[in-house]
Amino acid sequence: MEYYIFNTEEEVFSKNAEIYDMYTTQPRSERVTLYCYSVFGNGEYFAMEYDGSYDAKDLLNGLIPETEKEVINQGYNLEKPIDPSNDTVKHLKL
Amino acid sequence: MILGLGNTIPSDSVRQGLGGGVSYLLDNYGTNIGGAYSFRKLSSTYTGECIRVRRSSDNAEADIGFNGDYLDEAALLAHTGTGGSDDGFIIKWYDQSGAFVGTPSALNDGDLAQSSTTYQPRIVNNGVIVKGGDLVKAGDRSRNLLANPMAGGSGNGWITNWGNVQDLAIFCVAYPTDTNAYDAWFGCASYSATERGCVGITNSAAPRYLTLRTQDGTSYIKLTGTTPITYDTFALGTAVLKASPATTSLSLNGVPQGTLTNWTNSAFNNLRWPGGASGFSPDAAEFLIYQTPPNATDIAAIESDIINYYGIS
Repeated sequence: MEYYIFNTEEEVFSKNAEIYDMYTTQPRSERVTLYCYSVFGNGEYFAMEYDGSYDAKDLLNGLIPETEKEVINQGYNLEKPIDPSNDTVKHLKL
Repeated sequence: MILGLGNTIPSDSVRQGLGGGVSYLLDNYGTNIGGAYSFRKLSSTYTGECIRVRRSSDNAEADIGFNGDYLDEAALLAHTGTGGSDDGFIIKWYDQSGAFVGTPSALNDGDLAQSSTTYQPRIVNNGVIVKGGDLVKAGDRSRNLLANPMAGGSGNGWITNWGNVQDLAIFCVAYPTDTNAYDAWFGCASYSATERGCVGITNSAAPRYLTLRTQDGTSYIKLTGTTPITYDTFALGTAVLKASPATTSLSLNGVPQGTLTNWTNSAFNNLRWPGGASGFSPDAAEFLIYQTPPNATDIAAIESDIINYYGIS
């Protein structure tokens, strides 16, 4: 498992949603399902857990993945995935 | 009266009321209902869909309704396919209560939903509907979870507006499958990520027991049952939380598991079903929440209806 770090909640869920968009033809406005990877926080940043089940292709290029041990050491709680906020969902569905 | 149907679909005669008409649970016990989710029709006045399902073949989503009083299984399989790799996942479980009066979140109103593929309960596995006996259930994977509201951190003006001092009652029909799973919720009401009205399973050596987490912001278990959890069969967890008088009770399959007399109500702003497990979460089939607990006679009658329908012994 790999973890990609993002600065904001909107960034992590937007990238997550971009990956999922490649695997469905329905527009986001008609979907309940918006993203495909779990997101965790450490109170400051956001980590997207990536296992390749939905291939990101080149969408994560330029980002360096971290290991589970590294993100745990950075304070991410991998027992408690976080949901997107209402505002983030509204943004994703625009 | 418990008929012990052995997880088979009841005939219409089982639903006959005393007057000869078809009887639905919420028609008889719908007062103060706050949310009602099932694969059977619970109200004669509900005309909406049952669930919304994402299929694995191309991730297309579609609503699935009822055929008569039960989930339309033919429509479900027509959507997902019946091939050896065709799966279906619940992304929304529609609320049959009609109680929602708030402002919808960006994803759901009174319904339970899940916007991440990772946690959507499975209802079709390899082209076959997930069942216990003849009755539909869902889950069949680790940490499956549906929530209301799905978009976190906002509340949606529904359960939040029940107020800070409300009592409530929860009826959760689950189907535990993994003897190693713990902290597995049958269903719960919570405040953000803190479970405060959570019916679950103990984190202990086997046998495991039903638990209830209450108002403290620390998720600590406040009641632990006395009847061991049984697996690969339907089970009913009932939690009644009352602040005045301060009496909280937990039961498993209608059998009392304990009471508390120090319950202090807190705010709730989230429903979750079932989720939270280490290991496979229990599968589940029905989830009812009442804003105000019914009286003891009606609680017993609701439990009897559920126990009868699911063939719980």
